[in-house]
Amino acid sequence: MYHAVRTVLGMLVFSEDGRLAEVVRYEKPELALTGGLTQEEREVLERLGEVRVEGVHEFPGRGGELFRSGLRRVLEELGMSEREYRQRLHATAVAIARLRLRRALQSRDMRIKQLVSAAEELEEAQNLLASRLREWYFLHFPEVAESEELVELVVRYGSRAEMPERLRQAAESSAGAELEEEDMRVLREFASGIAELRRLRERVMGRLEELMREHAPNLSHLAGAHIAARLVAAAGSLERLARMPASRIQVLGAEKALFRHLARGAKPPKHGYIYQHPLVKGAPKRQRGRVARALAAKLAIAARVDAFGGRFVAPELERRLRAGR
Amino acid sequence: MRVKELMPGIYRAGRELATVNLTPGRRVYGERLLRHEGRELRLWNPRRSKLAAALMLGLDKLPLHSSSRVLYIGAAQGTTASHVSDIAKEGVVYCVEVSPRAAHSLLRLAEQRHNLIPILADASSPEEYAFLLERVDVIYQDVAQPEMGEILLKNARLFLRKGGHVLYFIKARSIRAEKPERIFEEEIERLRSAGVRVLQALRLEPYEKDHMLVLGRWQG
Ligand SMILES: C[S@@+](CC[C@H](N)C(=O)[O-])C[C@H]1O[C@@H](n2cnc3c(N)ncnc32)[C@H](O)[C@@H]1O
Repeated sequence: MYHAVRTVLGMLVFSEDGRLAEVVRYEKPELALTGGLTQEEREVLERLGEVRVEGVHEFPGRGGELFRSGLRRVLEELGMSEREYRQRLHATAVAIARLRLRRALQSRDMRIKQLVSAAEELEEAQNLLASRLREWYFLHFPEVAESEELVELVVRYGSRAEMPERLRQAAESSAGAELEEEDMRVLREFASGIAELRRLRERVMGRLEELMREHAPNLSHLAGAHIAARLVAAAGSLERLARMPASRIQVLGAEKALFRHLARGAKPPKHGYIYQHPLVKGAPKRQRGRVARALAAKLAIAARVDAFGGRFVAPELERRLRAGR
Repeated sequence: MRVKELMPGIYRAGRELATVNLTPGRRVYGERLLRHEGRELRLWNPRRSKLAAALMLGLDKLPLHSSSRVLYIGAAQGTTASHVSDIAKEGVVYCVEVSPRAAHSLLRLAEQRHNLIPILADASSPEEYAFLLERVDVIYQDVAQPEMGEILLKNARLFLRKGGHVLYFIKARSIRAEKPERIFEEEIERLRSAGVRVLQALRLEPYEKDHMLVLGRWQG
């Protein structure tokens, strides 16, 4: 039995007694180490028969242990100075980090994270500005300042006198002040800005939905694209989400609310993102924990199927979820 | 200004800390540079670096020297890691960072520093980078993540030599919203029962709120 480890020096194969038996050098270590076994490595493994390679057959492995704890001895056997090794290591690590960085920046996960944050921030900005508009417009027409459609009203009609028929009466008896024309112009532009933010947020959400349906069709189907996207963003990537136990998925998103709670004394959170799901929200209060747990379990499966290249199984998962299995 | 060497590679310049710049003329995060006896010192800001804060607050035995091999987990842009790389000038500092944004700056830094090995990976999956590592003398960890304790031990078991040291920065709030004292106690207990002898535990107020540094020795 042999034990092997892939390193910047190539694949090192140790015999049972810990001696270096064979070295398969790499032409481009950064590529070999970020990809699967090379042709030459496979040939050597075949020739030697019983070989356990760290990171391929086992982790951690005895080959890796031998290398890490006996680096100096290995270098001696290879006739390489520590300095040379460190130089090679440095160059290879920098090259690998560059490759990984490029790969990470290309990933859909990164774009999804940006879209999730953009949507959240647009919503916050919009709420902040909308409450400013309310107070501002209150000066002029307090009777409609609390209206749900205040933004639309101001954008469309502007001053009290221009309001549609149904508001005519309120306008005539209003306690509000007259605004100078220039004030009204600025106010209307401010309201248009808010409307624009809303439109923008919809664009962002639309794109997010598209990307999520490509990236994680099962998860999106079960959780809804928006909750699914938040889960992916909170986990860091679909793959990391897929590696999480269901219990962790269940509380993802709670940290953020927890933080808000600590920082600003907001309501303490009990639950993560999945508590926004209609199935959980719609369940009787006492049952919510149970439903959330069941949902999290199915989401964990869906995420794994999506991350590791599976079929579309969401409808089946959903059926089982609804049936309470 | 009076300058004196506090520990190997670490200086006190007036009231401030400093290390000897490994890359003279270059700054890493806008810190001030200072000439002293033919060498260039980089001032080390305790408001930017928790290790500097700990030194200001009485960390008395820093287990770092010029040829230390260090695994630094959660290196971010490399602010503190650059000072560690100054100190371990003939050693090596393996810097693991998961965020691509931070890793980008770290990579730049590594291109200038021959002893800084950049690793873009999640420290909870050491199999992603074990092939670059060797046994190390010190694990420095500052990740502000709920599973920080498990991450530390997982890495220690794989990479830390017997008798090596851990510098474990705990941010109570990242673990749970509870009394920090309680969380610190739990974390210290976690280390103890895994075979770490705790040498010093230090709160980082006023520099960092609800943070603690635990210095320990790995009995393996
Ligand atoms: C508080 S910052 C570290 C600051 C740094 N130690 C300094 O003093 O310059 C925490 C860093 O840990 C990183 N991090 C969090 N979890 C990680 C993990 N599992 N693996 C690697 N890095 C992680 C974060 O991306 C972040 O950059």
